[in-house]
Amino acid sequence: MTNRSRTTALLLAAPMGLTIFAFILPMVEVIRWSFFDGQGFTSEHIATALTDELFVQVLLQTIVLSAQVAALCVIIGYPVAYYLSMMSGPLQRLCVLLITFPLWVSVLVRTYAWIVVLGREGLLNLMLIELGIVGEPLKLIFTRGAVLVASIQVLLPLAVLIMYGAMSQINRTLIRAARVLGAPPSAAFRVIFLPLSMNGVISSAVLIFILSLGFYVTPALVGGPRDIMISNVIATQINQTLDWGLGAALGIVLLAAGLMVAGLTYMVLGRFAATANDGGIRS
Amino acid sequence: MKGTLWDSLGRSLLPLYFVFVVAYLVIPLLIVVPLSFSDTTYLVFPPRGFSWRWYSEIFLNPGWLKAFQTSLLLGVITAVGATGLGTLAAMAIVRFHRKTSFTIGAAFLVPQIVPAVITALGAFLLLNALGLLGTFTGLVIMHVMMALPLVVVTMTAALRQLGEGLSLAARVLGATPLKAFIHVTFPAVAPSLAISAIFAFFISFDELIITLFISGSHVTMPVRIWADVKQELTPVVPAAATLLTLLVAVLVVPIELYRQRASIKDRVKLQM
Repeated sequence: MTNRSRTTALLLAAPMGLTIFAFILPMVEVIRWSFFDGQGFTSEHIATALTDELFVQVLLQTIVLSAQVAALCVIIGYPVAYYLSMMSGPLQRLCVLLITFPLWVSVLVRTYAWIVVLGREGLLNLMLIELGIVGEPLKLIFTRGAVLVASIQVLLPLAVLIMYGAMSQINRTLIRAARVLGAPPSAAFRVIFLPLSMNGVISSAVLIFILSLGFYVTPALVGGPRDIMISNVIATQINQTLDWGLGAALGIVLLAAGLMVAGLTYMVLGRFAATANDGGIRS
Repeated sequence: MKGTLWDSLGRSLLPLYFVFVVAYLVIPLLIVVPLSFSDTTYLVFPPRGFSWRWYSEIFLNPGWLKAFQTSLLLGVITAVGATGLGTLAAMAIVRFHRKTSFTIGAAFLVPQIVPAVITALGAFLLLNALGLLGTFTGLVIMHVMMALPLVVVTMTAALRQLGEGLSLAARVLGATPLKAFIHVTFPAVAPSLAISAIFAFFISFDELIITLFISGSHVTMPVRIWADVKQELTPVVPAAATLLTLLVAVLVVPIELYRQRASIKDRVKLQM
């Protein structure tokens, strides 16, 4: 070992050690509890997680809801990111700050705010009744729609910032060149900007999807009893049912499902993305 | 003329759309503020009366005060621990060649893309096996791990931007590696260190799911709010929520402004 690589190894030792202890070992524990019990190897937990009607339904529900959140975040966020990338100077800084600020406020606080807005005697119902649009309060909270609205509010800033990051690296000369050569702005956008921004779109969609899979607070606070997500079920297995093996197996199934969907997204959407090799990214 | 129509349409609608989305993101945060000053013992909109009673509740009620103190202590320890360890990792990462450097940097980010509930579950099982479940030590270890990725990203970017030139110059002029670090590298990256520490503090201060699984009798602020939201609907939760939002405003806004001025790239942060 040379002197230099020994120093590098020394530098890495503590942070690597922590990551192994506090992240890798817990993952190993999850796998161990899913596949082993007192007697040895067992596929019972995984089998229950994959066949029990309730678990399968909650798992599918979690995947569908996460996909909806990811798709809506990208669709709602894209024009915002585009608008930010077109700005400059102090105005841009202010607008980016307006998007970043909510991201730092606790998820719990942000979800709680939706109870106040969507509650039976909440702000929205109050306004609708005051304006004479509805006669009696609408059922807004404890619905699937409430979970969607709150989850998107929690994750949208992240989607915008990732896409904005990708967009601000796009070489604008290419768009000007297309315009000079006679392309209308919409064509220049469709043929050049959109494919070049696709990597940002895919990254944010996949990240938002994976983060939504683990959502715990939002469904528990603003969703109805039928809108529970797999995280809530896992927590119940650990705290109440005390079936740790089953809880771990559900975790494994969630992780596997998440990885599969993320991989598929890359394969399907990746074909539409232009990359740095095509010369579109400013270096 | 389809193109120009779309163009002008976009130019006028886009700002409007932006305002609409920002309202969707920000207004829910502001709505809890008037509620926290309500004089009633139940939640009602619009709030009636004006009082500070729910704020004094947080600072006088032993349960809330303890939760606040636990969160502060945990946050500060996490900030120091994660910044220290993350900086060590970043110093190692920038020493590698491009490709290896990228791979090792990415490896440190993996904990961020695993759904929190799975990490929480694993932490619960591991700490239980080691007899650390419900201990403050267990909480510190998990919180530092959760905050580490963001520190690694921030410090790697800062050290890369600085380059090795200055520290090499110090070495050539006779400084030991330690001296070169203390007198040259450290002052140059001090702002990024401060930023990392504050980010790490907030990751710990806001963490709920993992804490809920492993904290035992150590109640943090989010755990306390969580229990209250589900049980009673007094304006004490809006008061706590307002305090937390205010803390973000005071600490994070100046940092974000500074960061934006410092660099346009490397802004996207991974959280949650």
